[in-house]
Amino acid sequence: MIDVKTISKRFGATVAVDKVTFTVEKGEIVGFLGPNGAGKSTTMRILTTYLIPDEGTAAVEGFDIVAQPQEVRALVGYLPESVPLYNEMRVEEYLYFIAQARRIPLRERARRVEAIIDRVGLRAVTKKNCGNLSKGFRQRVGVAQALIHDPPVLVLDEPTSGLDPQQIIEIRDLIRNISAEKVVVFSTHILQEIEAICKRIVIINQGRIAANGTPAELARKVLGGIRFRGRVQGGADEVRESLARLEGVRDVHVEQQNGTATFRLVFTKPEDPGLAFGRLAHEKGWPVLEASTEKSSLEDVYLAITRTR
Amino acid sequence: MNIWTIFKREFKNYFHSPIAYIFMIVFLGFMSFVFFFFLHFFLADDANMKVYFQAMPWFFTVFTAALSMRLWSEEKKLGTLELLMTVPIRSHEIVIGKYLAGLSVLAITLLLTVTVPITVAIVGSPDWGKIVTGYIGAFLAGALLLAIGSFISAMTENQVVALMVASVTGVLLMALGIQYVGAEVNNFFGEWKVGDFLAYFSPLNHLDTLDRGVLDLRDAIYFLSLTALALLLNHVAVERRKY
Repeated sequence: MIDVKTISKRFGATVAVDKVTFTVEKGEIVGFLGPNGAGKSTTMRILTTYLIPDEGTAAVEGFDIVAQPQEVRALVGYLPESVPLYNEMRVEEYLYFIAQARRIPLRERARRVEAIIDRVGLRAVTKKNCGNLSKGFRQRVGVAQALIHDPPVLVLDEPTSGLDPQQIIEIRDLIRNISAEKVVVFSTHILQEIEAICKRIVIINQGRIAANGTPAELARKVLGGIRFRGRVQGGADEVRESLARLEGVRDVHVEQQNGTATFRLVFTKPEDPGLAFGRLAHEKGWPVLEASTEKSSLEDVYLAITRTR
Repeated sequence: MNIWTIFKREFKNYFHSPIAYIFMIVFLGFMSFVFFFFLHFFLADDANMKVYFQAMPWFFTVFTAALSMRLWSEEKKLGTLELLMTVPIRSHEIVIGKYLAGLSVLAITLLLTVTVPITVAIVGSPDWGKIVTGYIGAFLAGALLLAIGSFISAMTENQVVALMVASVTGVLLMALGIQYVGAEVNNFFGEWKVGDFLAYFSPLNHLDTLDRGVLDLRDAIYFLSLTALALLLNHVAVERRKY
């Protein structure tokens, strides 16, 4: 696990990271979200021992990042934002170098390199120079070097930046598949991405943790509730009245459209709004045409947090 | 083991690009040119290599700067430094591995110049003792200049800046050993004899004894300690990023 306690980092007069505290448990995927320059990369660099915090401590699997950097490095797979490839090296050669630097024993090295080439889909470019790769392949080589030693902890700084939608889905699936037994921290500013993979979100703004929790928790905390919308067959007035009487429901808007009522509401109780709505619809005998939690909740959370300056 | 990992990649890297070849050829070309044409070697009656070994460290100032310019600056520019500094290899191992790679290319180049003393041996009878100490001196001076270049490369992201600053530093360090320069510096600082003091730090004065065929422990200590100091500064320059 990762345990970060009140770390701060200043560069000259600017405070890049300001008393950041969080933990990530095994099997968890945590997404770092925040505007550019919010401190995501700096936090990751501290976690991977590239930088030393001015204040505070952090531990990876129980090893202190300042006192035991070698132990921490051995346990972490890291993809920096810059995707560090040696341009004049061939992909295969590069991965062998990383395997050796990661101290994978000689007799295992070939097997590991081959396995990661297949897993990340680099078979077609193994003999190419890293400098001649497309953005998508560069990113994949970067992910491959982070995974080659099968680390228990993964730190990925914007692993999907610059990729096309198909490639994004591939990398996403890769992260999801490997995460069961691992600790994964990754950053992005694509909101849909974070909703698709992460169990938990940490929003960083101006060096501080602005919010930390599951998407539903954040929505409740920041927006006061989860947005829920649906369409049922019935009269608008009746629907409005019944929904408003439900416990934890706020801000009900209903529109009549040819015999159906489209509604939007905010649900403030910790349970799933679908459950409460389903019970009501069943009780009232409303035919339900559609009903869902609004995906845009996270966007609203993000904007609400990062707009306050 | 870790040093070997770094050394291997760095050494191969020299020959991935034409830069190493170009500088080796230019260096070897200049050395041969100096020897056979400027010195009117074939007209000299004794097979004397002294001037050859006196000229070599001056050419080394640029050659070692060219060998060291990429060592760190390119890692910084490409962002690969972040990779290197987050794998379980200690920074001093990286400093040493990189340095040894450069030193190997330097040694290979020096080895390729033995055609010159061999030619001398064919047409005359050179003093092999002086040639051996001359080579030892050239290697030690090159090793020192390379360490300084490596340190300078760790301070910038720009290869060209590293090349320029390292070359100029090398030339200045050498120039401090010229008597005329020492005297001028002495004059400038009045009675403090700063020129004499600085001259001690110039490779030139220490090469002098070696070129005369004398192996003095003090000269060896001078070269090795200054090289070690430059590498230590290199390590500090690399670690400084953390804070």
